Amino acid sequence: MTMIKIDGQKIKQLREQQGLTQLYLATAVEVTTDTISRWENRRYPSIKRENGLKLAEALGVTLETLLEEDESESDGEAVDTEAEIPVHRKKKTSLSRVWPLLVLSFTLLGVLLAFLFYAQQTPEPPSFTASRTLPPHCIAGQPFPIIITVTGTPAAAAALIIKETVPEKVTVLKTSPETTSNTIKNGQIKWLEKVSQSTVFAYIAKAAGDTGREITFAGTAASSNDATSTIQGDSTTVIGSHHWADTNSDNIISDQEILTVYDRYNDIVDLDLDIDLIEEIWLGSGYRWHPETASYEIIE
Amino acid sequence: MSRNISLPHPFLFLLVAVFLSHFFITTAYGNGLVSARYLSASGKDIVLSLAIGTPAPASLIVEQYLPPGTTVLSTSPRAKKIDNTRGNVKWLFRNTASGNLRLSITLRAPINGGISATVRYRDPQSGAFTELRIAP
Repeated sequence: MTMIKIDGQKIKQLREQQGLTQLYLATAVEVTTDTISRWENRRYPSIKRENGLKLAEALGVTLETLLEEDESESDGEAVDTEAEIPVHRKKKTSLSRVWPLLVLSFTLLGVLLAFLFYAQQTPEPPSFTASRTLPPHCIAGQPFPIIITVTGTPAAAAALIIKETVPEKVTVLKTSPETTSNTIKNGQIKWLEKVSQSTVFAYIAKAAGDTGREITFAGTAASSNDATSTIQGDSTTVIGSHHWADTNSDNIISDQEILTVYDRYNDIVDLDLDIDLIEEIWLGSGYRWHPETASYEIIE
Repeated sequence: MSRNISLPHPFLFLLVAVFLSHFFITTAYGNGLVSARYLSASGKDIVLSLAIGTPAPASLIVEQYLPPGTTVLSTSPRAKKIDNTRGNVKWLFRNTASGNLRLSITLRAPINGGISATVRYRDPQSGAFTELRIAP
């Protein structure tokens, strides 16, 4: 490696004359501005001949112009070798030390984030609500419907046992779906079904008793994870002299009342609700209940 | 000193236009799930067209009011109740499906307007009872 001794002052003078910056020379020679500064301030620094040529070209002069008066080329003599290190090599060293750490940091961060994400995805235990819908009144000895709507979490289906206690002097005529044992035992209806979203359990019953008697219904819903809850919603109906669908007891089945009947009970399979009778009453001007003959008179 | 006034983004105009047009159209024929309009409101043939959205109500009642004493010869689909004295025709639809429904009445003698209708249903999501008045 051939080294040359340059005149730092001359370099500075030439640079300033041309209005050039140290940065400009540094870029042209591919060294740092610190290096240029050291060259200019040390009176006779030794630099590589190759760098000397680049410097001369950048300043627009011959190499000899930059040399000190008693310049001598020497081999092996390296002064300020640190300054001769090209910019790109210095940067490469600092970058090469940092990037493995960066990669490791991002990998660890990714693993941590993935762990946190999947930890939060643990499925929630199945939960459900059960609610009963009862007509406000019924006629003694006449069938009326009771529906229990169970709403579960959509994410996971759960096996559910519905137990509905049949009140005294109430006879169950039909259930939908059919009960587990197909009989009603010990005054209790039991269903065992898998519920994921919304499921309807229904039955038709008739009650005996005097007008004004209040009949109270109760039941529970238990899931496979041992959670048991009381069936909410309506729990009481009263024996009276109006059809169960005539909710405001005005002896008329109105448009609103018949729409409610269809919306609530239309889709329940095999319930055998006497929808035709309700429709007949709706089409007429009203009805009267005759307890002595246990029949409805439809008023045209 | 000049001022540069920039116009709002064209997409915003389009969005506002679509919103306003939807608003005006629905108020003309009915709002929400069910809308209706007369295709023919005079003469011997009365035709009412219903548009049923999604989810469709489980059941629907349409009551058509005619001038009292108007004799109805036939209806399509078949009406549940026809009262010629009162000028009242009633349909009841169960298991309603989304889409268009056309109700037509053929009269013995032509009429010159004086009709209206009411559509009744329960909103399947809220359970609210809804009544829609339709006029030519």
